[in-house]
Amino acid sequence: MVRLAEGDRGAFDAVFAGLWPELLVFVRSAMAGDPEAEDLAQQTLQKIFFRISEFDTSRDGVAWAFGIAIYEVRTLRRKRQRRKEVRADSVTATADGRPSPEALLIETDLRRALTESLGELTNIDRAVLLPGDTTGADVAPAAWRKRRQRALERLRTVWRNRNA
Amino acid sequence: MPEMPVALLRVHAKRSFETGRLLVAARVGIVVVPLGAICARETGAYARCTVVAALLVTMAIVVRWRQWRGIRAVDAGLLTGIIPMAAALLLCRFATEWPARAALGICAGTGFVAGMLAARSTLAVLNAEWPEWASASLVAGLTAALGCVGIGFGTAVGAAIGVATGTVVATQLPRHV
Repeated sequence: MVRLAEGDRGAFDAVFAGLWPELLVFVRSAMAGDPEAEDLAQQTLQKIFFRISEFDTSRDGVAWAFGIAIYEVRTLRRKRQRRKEVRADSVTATADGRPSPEALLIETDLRRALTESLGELTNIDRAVLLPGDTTGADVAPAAWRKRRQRALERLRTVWRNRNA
Repeated sequence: MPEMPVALLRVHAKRSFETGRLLVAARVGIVVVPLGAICARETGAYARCTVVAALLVTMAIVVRWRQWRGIRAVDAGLLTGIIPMAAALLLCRFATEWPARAALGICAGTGFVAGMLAARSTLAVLNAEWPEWASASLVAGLTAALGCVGIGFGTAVGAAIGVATGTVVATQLPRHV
């Protein structure tokens, strides 16, 4: 990658052959089951080659390339998130008012992800967050709110690390 | 974007690489065009400065785009070529009268120093072979000529010869002192 960044075209094939399979695996794993994963990997590869002349050769080339890949995956997710925000009602509800199969699937996925994330918290944090919690009965309301806020922060961190 | 076979993807990736490299190469215009404008304004030789600046921009872009380590070579050439160029501009700005031979001597002398520095910097930093230092000295010569061409065509040629001589001398010296 350093040679290619310096303009040695002879290094192109080696970089392509080494980078493309790894990039494809990475994007597929980051977007598990997504039919657009390969398209995104292709776009990312082209962006990497477009910007490789700007690559600082004193840094690690693989980390740089996969940094671009992570950025592209996040950008696609953000775009989809925005699309969902706009069209949530029309997509997730059917004519008779019941949730569509897609909405049910999304809900199931979210519930599963939430359960897994909650599983990584401590028992105290989980007890504070889950409904029917009685641990707050013996503490002051301010202390309970603080405890709940901290537990929520930890849950957010776990959620981001697992699903971001 | 539809899925494409790997061979086609390679072609697209190559095209992206070339486009990106050309854009990076073209950025040198941000430095060279103002340099040309300053020289033209200071010396009043608009036509000659435009021609030399156009040559310099073209040369710099082509080298940065096509040559291995071309970006560093052009940067070294520009940085060292600024020495004779600045000397010529100072002459034009402050010397109301100046013997032609003295101007030629100053431009050729500073050109010689620039050529040596261009060659040494490319050789030392890059452990480079002849294409790198040749490109660096060519860019340094054109940059020197950009400043000196306002004084006269002969002075510009003298500066360029000075750069070339300095480069040749520097390449004959041992690489690591």
